[in-house]
Amino acid sequence: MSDAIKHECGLAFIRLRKSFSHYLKEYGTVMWGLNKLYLLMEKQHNRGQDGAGIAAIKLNVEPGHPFMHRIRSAQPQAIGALFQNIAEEVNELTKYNPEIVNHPGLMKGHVKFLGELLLGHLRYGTQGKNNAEFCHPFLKRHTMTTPTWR
Amino acid sequence: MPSLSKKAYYDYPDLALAGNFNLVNTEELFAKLGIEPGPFQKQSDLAAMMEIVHKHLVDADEASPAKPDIKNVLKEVIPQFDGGFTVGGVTGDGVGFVFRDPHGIRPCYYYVDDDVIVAASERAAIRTTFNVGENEVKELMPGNALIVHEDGSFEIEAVVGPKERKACSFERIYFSRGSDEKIYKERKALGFNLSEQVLNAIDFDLKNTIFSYIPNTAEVAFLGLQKGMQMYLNKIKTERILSWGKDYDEEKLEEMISRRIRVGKIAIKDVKMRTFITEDASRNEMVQHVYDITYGTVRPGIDTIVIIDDSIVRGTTLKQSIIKMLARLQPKKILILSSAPQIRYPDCYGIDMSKMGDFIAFNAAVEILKDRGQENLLHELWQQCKDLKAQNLLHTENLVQKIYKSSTSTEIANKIAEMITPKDLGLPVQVIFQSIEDLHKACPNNLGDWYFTGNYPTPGGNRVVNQAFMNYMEGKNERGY
Repeated sequence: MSDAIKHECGLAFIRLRKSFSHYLKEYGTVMWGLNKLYLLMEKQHNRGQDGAGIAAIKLNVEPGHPFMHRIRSAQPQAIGALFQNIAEEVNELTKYNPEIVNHPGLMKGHVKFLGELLLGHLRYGTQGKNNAEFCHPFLKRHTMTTPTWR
Repeated sequence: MPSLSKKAYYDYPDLALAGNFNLVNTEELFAKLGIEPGPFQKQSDLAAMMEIVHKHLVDADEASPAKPDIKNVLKEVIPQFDGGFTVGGVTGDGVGFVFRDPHGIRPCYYYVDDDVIVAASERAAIRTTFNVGENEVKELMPGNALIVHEDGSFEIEAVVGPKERKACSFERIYFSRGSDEKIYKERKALGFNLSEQVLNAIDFDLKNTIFSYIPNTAEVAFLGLQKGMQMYLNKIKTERILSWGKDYDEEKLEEMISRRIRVGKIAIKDVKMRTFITEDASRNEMVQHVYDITYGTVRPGIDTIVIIDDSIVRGTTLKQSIIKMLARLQPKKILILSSAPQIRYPDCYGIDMSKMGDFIAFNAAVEILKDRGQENLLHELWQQCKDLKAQNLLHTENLVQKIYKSSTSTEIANKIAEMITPKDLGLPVQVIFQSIEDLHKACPNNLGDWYFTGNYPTPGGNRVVNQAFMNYMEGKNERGY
């Protein structure tokens, strides 16, 4: 392709149907779903390299605890940047509690993006300005009292 | 961080949306909701989609707080969108959904097993990520939604009556990754389908022709073209050998069967050169070096170079870089192939091709009109557009199609060749495009071809193309939507 044409985006949607302990047992990690999301997004990187975003929903969360999280980036290598961010949170957590990775419930409570419902997006900056604010997913939430997003 | 909602403390359901799409009736949607979009929202059709999905979700939540009916929400909302879309959403209730436009313009695939439910824009991405077979990944059909309930059960539901399938053919030509089983075959067929035109253009002289491609995405189409050439050569070999009767020896036979199609990696995509000095002469020098060539591949003055690309939009890179570079090899002739037909009209369903003046095919058609002293047609059509717009009827007819009426496809291709040939090149350049019929034969499930034919599947398309033409006539460098 000599004339680069830009394209509006790619989508990655994942719903884990079992509890996190299942993925730990079957695949050796509670991070299985997030790893798959990363792969699914990178394997579609041709569909957008100007930005990326992820939203995660945790199911059956105690009232008052945050259950919806989102992260977006318009940096170069945006997909990598998002997952780097998630990895840092996990690394920070496991630094002093290496055993925590074997406790799905604790992991779910501590790792923001360890949700059962995952929505990923890749973006080419064709519409609107090219900054993170224009990256999907967009959110509408009912309260600002639990500021859970970055 | 700013919230999209000003009513931060009002209790309504949480929602996240993301998609691959473009809507052409964003303004209409905002008007319907009685929202005066802010400067941020104005630039985003997702913001409009968000507002309308959310509004209906709130209504559903009020009607049935225990379990708002997401299916009904989607059924109410989606028919209001004009555009091409694949959108995914998740709600705070733990419901997930993915829906696709009724023409199937944008692609969507899904996969389900006991552990996971997945949806994505490309089938091969799902296959690789979950290591599953071609037929285990299903296409989410046009107008359908995949809905995953809070308990992990799922259903596929028609949420908007399917309309004539018009899946985007550009996904197959260029956008989706060529590692997909079907796309790979289709791209090869696109190259193969050009064979006859190419043989005619080189006067069947395979001996003095070298074939190559413009990296990287055109590589698969090139393989198809190579196959077409090989089949022709094999046919000739068989005919010759049969004509010999018994009059041959080992050497003669060996010479005949060892004849090959000459292929080479002639063009190389290079790093983007920085134009650190902005003066024109310096800039042109650097722009030229976006591509490089392999030296010694062409016999000067003897060989014709045939080089295939997946499409020609603006033609600027061909003119400023590729053709100049190829000419350094001093071929007898350069033949450029496009595995896509001529791009004549803007896209408004998710591909960023929106300005008439950006299309070399359009500029060529305008040049032809000027050559013939018929440029008055442009002004007549402009006036007709203005009249339609005044009556709010811009969506009723694609007037730009009339600009192409009086020229044949070959005349436009020849004019394009003229326009992309730098002055004083000293050798002929010819351009050959895929025909629309051959495109459809190669990609039978993706018949969406509005950027080639001007036949838009939704009324918003006509409005966009007419508006794009008006912008062109008014010298406005902005999108038609």
